[in-house]
Amino acid sequence: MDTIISRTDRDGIAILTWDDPGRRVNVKSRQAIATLAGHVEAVLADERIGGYVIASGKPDFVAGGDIEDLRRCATPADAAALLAPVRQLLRRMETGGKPAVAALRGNALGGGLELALACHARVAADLPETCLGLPEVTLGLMPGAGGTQRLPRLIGLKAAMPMILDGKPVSARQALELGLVDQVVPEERLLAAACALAGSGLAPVQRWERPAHAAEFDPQSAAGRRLFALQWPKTKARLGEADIAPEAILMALHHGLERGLEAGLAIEARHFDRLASSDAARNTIRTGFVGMNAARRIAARPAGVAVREFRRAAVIGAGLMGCGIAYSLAASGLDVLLVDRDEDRTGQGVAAIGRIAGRQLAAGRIDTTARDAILARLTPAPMQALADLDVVVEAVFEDEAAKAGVLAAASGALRPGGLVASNTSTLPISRLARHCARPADFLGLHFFAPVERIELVEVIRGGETSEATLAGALDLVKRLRKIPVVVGDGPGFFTSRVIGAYTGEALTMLAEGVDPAVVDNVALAFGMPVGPLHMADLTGIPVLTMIFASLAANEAGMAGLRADEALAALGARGRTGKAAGGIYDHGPDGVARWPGLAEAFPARQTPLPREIIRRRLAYAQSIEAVRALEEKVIAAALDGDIAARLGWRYPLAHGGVFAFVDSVGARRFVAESRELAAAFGRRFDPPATLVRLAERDERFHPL
Amino acid sequence: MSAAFIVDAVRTPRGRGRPDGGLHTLSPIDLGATVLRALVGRTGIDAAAVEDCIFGCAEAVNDQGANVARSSWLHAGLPEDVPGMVVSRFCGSGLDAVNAAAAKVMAGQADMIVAGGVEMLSLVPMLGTGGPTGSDAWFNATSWLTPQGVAADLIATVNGFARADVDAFAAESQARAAAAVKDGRHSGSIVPVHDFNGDLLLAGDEHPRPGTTVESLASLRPAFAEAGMKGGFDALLKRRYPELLHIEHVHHAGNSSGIVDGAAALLIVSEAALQRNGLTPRARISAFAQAGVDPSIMLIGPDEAARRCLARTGRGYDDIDLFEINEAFAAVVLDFMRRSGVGRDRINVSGGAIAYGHPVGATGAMLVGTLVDDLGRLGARRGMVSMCVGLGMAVATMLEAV
Repeated sequence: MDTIISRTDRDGIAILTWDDPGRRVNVKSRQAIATLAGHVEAVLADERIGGYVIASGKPDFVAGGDIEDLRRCATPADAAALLAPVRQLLRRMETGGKPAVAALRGNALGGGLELALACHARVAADLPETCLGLPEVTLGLMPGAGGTQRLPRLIGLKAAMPMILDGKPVSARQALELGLVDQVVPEERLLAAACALAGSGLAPVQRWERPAHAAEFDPQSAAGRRLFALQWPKTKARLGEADIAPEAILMALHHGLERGLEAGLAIEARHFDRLASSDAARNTIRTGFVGMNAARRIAARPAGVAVREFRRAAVIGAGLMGCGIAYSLAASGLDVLLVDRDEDRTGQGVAAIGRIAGRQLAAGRIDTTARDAILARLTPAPMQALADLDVVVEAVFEDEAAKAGVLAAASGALRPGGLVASNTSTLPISRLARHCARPADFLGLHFFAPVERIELVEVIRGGETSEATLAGALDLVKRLRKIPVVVGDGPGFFTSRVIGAYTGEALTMLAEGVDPAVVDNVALAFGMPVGPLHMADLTGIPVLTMIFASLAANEAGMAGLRADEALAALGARGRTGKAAGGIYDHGPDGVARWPGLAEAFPARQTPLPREIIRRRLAYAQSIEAVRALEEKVIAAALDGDIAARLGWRYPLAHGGVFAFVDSVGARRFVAESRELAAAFGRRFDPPATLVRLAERDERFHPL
Repeated sequence: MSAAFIVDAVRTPRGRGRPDGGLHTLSPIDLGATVLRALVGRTGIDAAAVEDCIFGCAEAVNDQGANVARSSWLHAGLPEDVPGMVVSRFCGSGLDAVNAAAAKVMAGQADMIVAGGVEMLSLVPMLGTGGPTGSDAWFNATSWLTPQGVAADLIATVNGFARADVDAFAAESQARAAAAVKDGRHSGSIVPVHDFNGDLLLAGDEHPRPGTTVESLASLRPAFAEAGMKGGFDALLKRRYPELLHIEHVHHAGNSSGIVDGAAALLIVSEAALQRNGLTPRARISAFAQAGVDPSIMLIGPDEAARRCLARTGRGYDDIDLFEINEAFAAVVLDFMRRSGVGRDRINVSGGAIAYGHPVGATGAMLVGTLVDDLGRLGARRGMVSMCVGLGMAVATMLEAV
């Protein structure tokens, strides 16, 4: 236990080196905090010691608190009890009478930076990996151990506000410019410099608690009021209904900075304790952190299959998806052959991939060396030139006949044990498998546009797909640095099926004469990035018509849906989507009302209440997801939540399509679903799984 | 219940609310003292007999803080026997000061009150007193924080008022103000402002732009488009008004109320005080009311406040000859017209704040004075002042000729 932190004394300075033998990174666990507190008390009582340095024995300084402890906080009081020791320790350090200096190297994020902020000075190693920040907001949280109070008092409110609201870290050099660290030194001098500073007569009083200190930035000054008044709408406009952390941060900053530190800490603690025990934080942590980390590590990979290496790939079909897939494969170091009908098409494809690389470069995601290397790995090739491949990805037009020919030809070009994948969003994999020489080597890899940006890959097992093929495909997805969700075969798999239910519900309301603007604005308020009917125009009415045709086999989900009717009415009027006009007219200023709307979809007599619209959009997704779970299209609720987040940017604070049911409560969800079923169609009938959950008062996610 | 009579109503000219404005070098208590001295002098009352001095001031801070009513009274050299108090309901403060004075008289708890208001926007800007609005994130969410100009644009959007509509209203306001100034309709109520050396600083309203046309307004850029679109307010308003795809930003400096400095004061007395002091009343305050409405669209309350006021007297809109609906923004008055069915011919017959400017906490008292003048001039029987107020409020007062 005592080995978490060791103490070495050097010339009257105690060096406390944090190096938890049981963990890869130093975490502010209860045990670690207790150990540190013991050391601090011993140092403060030791007459031979004039100051102390807190350093790390690991590549990184200290990470935040233990997320597993935190997500078990059910009430604000639980969170207060969990954080009390660290809050007390940090206050003890800054008021204990001996100067404390933090020696920072690698990541000092969240609770790690808060520890450093409670020291009287900070020294950082001049390394590219030195990274200081308060990223709590990305977990649906806020700093809870003084971060919102000490950082703005140290570097000013104006600089601190974006760091805390956006969660973006800064480098050592930036930290020096901001005044967040006092010195930046070469790594080998880090400890010496920190010791020297601790022994230099550094006053053991924080500058904001010295009598002469004048607040650098008073929230009640004209500039301060302006800062908050302008920030709030910008922040709020980005938030869905469940996203509560950013406003809590603004509250803690405003009310905390108006008062002294002690009061500010109390205000921060009150807000943190509420957030830490909120559905929003638990959802964000579960889906965005715990779940995605597990998926990234390909936890679903069949055990006992050797890790597969990939060197040579071919992508057949040089359209939007094919080019994005080819780019991503090349960016992961594979040699990629790009195949299409003729040289013209492959030439256009190569040019399109060049444009993707250009965008990635402009956005700073790659440098010119990487770009040149990626493009050099890419070769246009005719179909007959394919040979000796580790993987072929088929990405031609979504038409079974077109895919059949390609798959048959591609199967022959593989190395033994090579992998064939179809990028289809709707066609059953088991049926496509018939066209492959070895169906066991075949599966679906459903990528999402823009491929180079969207992390999700739906990995679809056909009836004959082997365990080895699934394992190999997951190895490939990991190599692409993407996040796989393994799904079973079936109409629309998981993603297209649930998006279909959502879009279908919106189109049904359109057919009923509900104002499309209201439908979309209600979806935006829920937290969706774009309204479903606006999205329908972007997807295109003909494409949607095709997708709904392929989803028709899902009879339970289609019961009472009027999507086809709405799509047909649009199609009959030549309303095809964004370019030619669809549900909306589209111009440089965004969407505008289509004058023909009322003729195509006569308005309802009485407006549908917004809460009903909200429920129909949200419940349609969750209910369809539960049906997919029952049909074993997905293996676990968390997989569905991850797919929802990554596939269609479902609001993270709601957790996902399953977590949403938990937040509503299964009992209420079932009762309200039955109301919707009675009013709008049997597709809202709660599936048996939901009814059972409600009867037992259980949740999809216990934690 | 006693009746409350208006004996006299005076105001300063409105100076531009900028560093080059005619009143900017004065203190708020200079403006307050100017109208108080004029009122006492013109009515010939024994100032010590006044029982209270109630001023409206929206932003009571700095030099207009700490009870600018009592301060102005003392600064005017008037008897120390008279206390003062300040009321604040943002833009309605001056009208609320009049109503509070009338209420004391009508309740039989006072016979002689001075009511009025002071605001120097050149010195203390809107929201200068702070408050949770803007800075408190939770309160912003609760109250659907919306800048007033964006709220006015929202009113125009939901009503379908086009830029041409609001600009036409503004041009008409300027034309009516120009005619009123040319005729000297209110010159008897305007008190020229001098400095302590006796030099004249301002004799007439500084803000009107006679000759304004729809064409000349067309070149002005929307003032609230950036706050609405880039600032995030439009996106948030679509959550409150989800039937909207966009907010049409139609308001600008030329069809919004002008930013000015000014002060006003009225003498409000009981019937007993009229007789005791031999005073001649100019009008009677017959009713007043206030209302709260959706704080995001904020400025649609004048109709509701007016209806509540009418309901107190059992009267309807048809019984009112003249209306002063504060021209905070052109769309506010157009919205009132649509809700009330009252035609433009009865509203703001001498122009309004788009031409003259809106010295926030003083405006209500000024509008009462304007209405008293016009009731007399036109031989009308009844008039109504109604004003929209921030955070979704409104206040109204009904006057009758005597």
